[in-house]
Amino acid sequence: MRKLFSLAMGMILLFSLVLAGCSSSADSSSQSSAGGKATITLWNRWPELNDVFKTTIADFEKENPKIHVKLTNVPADQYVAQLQAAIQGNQLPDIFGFNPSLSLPQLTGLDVIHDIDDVITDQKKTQFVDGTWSEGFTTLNGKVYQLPLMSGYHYTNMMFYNKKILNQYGIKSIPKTWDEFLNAGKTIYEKSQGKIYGLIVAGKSSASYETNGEIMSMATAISPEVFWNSGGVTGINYKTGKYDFDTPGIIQTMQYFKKLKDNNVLHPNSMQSDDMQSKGLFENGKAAFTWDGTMAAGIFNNDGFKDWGAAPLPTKDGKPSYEGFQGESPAGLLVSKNTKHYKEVKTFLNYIIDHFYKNLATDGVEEPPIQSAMEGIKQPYPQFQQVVDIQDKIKILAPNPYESNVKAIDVVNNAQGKQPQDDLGNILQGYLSGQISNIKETLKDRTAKFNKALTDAIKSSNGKVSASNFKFSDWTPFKPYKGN
Amino acid sequence: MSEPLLSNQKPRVKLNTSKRRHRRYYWAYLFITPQFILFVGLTIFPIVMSYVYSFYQWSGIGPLENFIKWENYKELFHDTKFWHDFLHSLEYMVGQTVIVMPLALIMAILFNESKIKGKTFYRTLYFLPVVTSTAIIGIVMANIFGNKDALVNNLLQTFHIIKHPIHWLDNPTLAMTVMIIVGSWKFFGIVMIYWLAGLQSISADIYEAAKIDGANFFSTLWYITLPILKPISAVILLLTVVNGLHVFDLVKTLTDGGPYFSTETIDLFIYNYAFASDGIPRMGYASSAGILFGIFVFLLSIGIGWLIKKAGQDEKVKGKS
Amino acid sequence: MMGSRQRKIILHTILLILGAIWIYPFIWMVSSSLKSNIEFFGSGLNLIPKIFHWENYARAWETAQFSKYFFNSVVITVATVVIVTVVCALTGYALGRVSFPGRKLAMVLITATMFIPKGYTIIPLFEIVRHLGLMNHLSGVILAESAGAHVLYILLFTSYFSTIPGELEDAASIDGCGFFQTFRKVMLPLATPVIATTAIMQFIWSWNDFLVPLVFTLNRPELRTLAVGMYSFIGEYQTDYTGMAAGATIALVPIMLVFIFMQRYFIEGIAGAVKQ
Repeated sequence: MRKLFSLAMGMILLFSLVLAGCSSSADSSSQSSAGGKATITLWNRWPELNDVFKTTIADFEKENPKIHVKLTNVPADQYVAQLQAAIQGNQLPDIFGFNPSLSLPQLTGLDVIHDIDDVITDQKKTQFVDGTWSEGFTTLNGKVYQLPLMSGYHYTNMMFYNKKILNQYGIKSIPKTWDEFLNAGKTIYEKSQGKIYGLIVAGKSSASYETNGEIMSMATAISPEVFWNSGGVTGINYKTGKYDFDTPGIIQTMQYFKKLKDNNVLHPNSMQSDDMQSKGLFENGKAAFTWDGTMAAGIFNNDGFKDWGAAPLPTKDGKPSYEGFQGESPAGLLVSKNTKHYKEVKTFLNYIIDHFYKNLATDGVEEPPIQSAMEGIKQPYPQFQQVVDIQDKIKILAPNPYESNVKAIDVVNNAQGKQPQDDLGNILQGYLSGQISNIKETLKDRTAKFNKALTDAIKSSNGKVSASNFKFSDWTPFKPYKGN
Repeated sequence: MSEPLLSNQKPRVKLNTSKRRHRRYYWAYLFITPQFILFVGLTIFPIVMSYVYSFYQWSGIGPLENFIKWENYKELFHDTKFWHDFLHSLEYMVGQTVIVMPLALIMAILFNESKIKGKTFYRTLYFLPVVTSTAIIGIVMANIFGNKDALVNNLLQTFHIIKHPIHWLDNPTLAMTVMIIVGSWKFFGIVMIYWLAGLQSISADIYEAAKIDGANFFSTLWYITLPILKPISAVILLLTVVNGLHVFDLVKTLTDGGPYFSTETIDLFIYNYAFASDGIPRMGYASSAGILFGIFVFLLSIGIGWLIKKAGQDEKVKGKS
Repeated sequence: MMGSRQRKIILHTILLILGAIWIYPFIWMVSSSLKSNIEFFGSGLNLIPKIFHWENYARAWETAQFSKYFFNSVVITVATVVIVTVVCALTGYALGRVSFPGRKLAMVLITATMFIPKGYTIIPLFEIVRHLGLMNHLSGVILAESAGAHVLYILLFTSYFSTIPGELEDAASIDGCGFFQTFRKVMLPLATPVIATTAIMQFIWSWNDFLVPLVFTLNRPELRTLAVGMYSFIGEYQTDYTGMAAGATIALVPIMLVFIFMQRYFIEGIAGAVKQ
């Protein structure tokens, strides 16, 4: 009997941890309402916003001593996995960052998000940049669900240059055409005896979205019907309503990249650099130019690199290129349906509109979605305005297929699951490494696969969505599209 | 008082063997109960669920509603990317196994020599890569095998072995080679330990006897050490193969499958579909890929298991003769 | 013929040079942890930083909350190691010394689970832990980390226990020890090498595991582990490489110590199980 007893003791010991867990986890859930202080939880997946959130929350808690905001930074790479688990487990935080993989119709269909119509009143709506309130991205069936954190123009591809290197090697004017750029790069490589290259880009698979965006952005100067957009529905020619990747613009841009590589203008580490490595090489003067997104500006500033300037990407003949803005929100917050503290959440969201936006600009991270928040702020660094101006010029309001039919979101999402997972950045990798010899054929094949997936998805929507939802005959590229 | 009495009753216990045996059974069942609970609840159930997912079109959230029978599997059979990735996993596994198995054995034989001083130091040195998280190794190695201003190319250029830097990670074959080298480096220490364990199970008497017979180092190795190691080598082979087929962290951080998916393995394929950061995640499709690949790994393991059995029997036959 | 002394010197030289190449990546990592983010990319092969940026460690320890994560890592890892070792020792003992009905089936079942890929089983695992009410608690992470069949450990224990001569057990029972006491007082101490082996291997695994501690501490970031914390240096658009190198160096220290202290038993443990 004694042996059995001691064994039982062992078992109890073994699972005492588990038991301890039960009791104390119950404590933690009730902690929020203890002492009359409400705790609201917030998941952020944008590391560049971390500091802005911190300062905003600190000020907010000072003004609202009864509310505590608990900020969690979730690694971007695992955000979708974490959201999936949280939704399955009914563990969503009160406020969380939007990710396009889990679309608004999906989330409202599961009844897990709360609309924020009483925060974003009709009067408030008008303060935001044109196009901010668009179906499928920020609103659904006329209700607002997402509070944008940054300007919808966020993430525009542009060119950054190292002023010192350009001066040193006698590059007087910033190249506007492909030929000018190629020559500048060649000059720098030759004069520096191979120590400095013309261009570094981030072309590693994990950063291929960057080269993908740069290719599509530059291609619009040749074939404007297919534009790029970081968070929207991209790659579709909205004149025909079909995906189109084998345009002359995209093919020629790919070939231009190869030319840059063959002429020692492209830094040899480009295709294995992620976004941070390419910035690091640029900051260290290993390349005179880098093509990157808007957010690079704030990072250069944070890293203490000062001697840079920004310009639009060069194009074939120096003609302007553009990127589409479809009302998608590159970063925004959703509210959980199950929040126990909706009143406090509302207070906090209002505070974001009034203070977070200003902090965002003051920190030099990005321009806010409300233009007036930019007024009267001190420039965080000298080039900030320059970057913002380029961004505002390049982003042009473009057709949004969800506007005409919200059900198109499901179709696009379903199609995306079946479409090839590679983007043009991956294809560029294959092209430069010699794995793809016939670029035209590859792009044609990709176009066909994308269109097949789209057609299939439209078919399986049982007539709720038609091909015409993706066709906008009244749209003219380069002209802001205001809808029908 | 009663203690000595009890021990005197030993014969009675022996007589009552059947009762004693049953008692032992109860204890045995009691002993495996905790494992059984963990096993059923936290291993079997999740695995079974992933089999269920593979028959659904499911994004990972919401109820399982869209039952699509064998559609995921059918699609998978026609997915060239899946088969390419399958091949990459095999390539990697074969490469790593071929490099690690013999080299680790050589090192283990060296360290098994009792004469070498500082064994602990060396073992720790060569074991270091095993204990490090792969995330950081991928980043470090990407810098060592870079094209420009990177260690390997600079060394080769300094010694005039190459004129122009080799673009290691830009070339499909070279990128896979680098992956295999780095993976082998990371896994080497654990295999070395396995071999060392095998070597230490050989008693010193056998070596003494060989020495008396006048056998030199190599004939001892060939005629004594290697035959004795045969059964354990099959086990090590199995462990190395299974490890090689499930390479994930290293690919993710070192090449992320590039250039143009030429180093993407099945585990990365599954991850990309299950937790896609653009487009809708396809948990069902990812599950079916995992299961199909799992069946292959299982069959392969059975083959190696058969080898283990055969090697064991050979030993027994030899021992008898 | 060379003297044995000379041969030894040559051998040690080779081993040391090879060893230096072998751990070069770590030297590089440690040196990176003392560089500035700009220098990280620019200094090429230069291992010694111009200025020692100790603040990278301060940043990792304070800003990235590594002090907190360190504590969590220790608690989770130690608890997991204890649970796994105890459970596997019990199982291995039963399988190795008692031929109870169903033993063969148990062996087959356990071995079979080794070959099934598991990465995507996280959602069902998550649901179980949630139903037990252990979400967002360290014990939930510990339980999830202890999951799995631990095939290798069980097999090690099984074969190790099966090699211990039966006389020992008889002697113990003559001394009045029952089944459990024989196990605890006689058999378990003999199995120290296998225990060490299991402990080291489980330690390495739990210490570096990432997805489980991340997902199971959804709403309580203060419960994260070092391995998860490492990813707080990687952002969607920017990565703090030097902070990460500092963090990785910090995370490496305990696991190295554990290995150094237990490595003697480690090899013995596997060797003992092989010897049959």
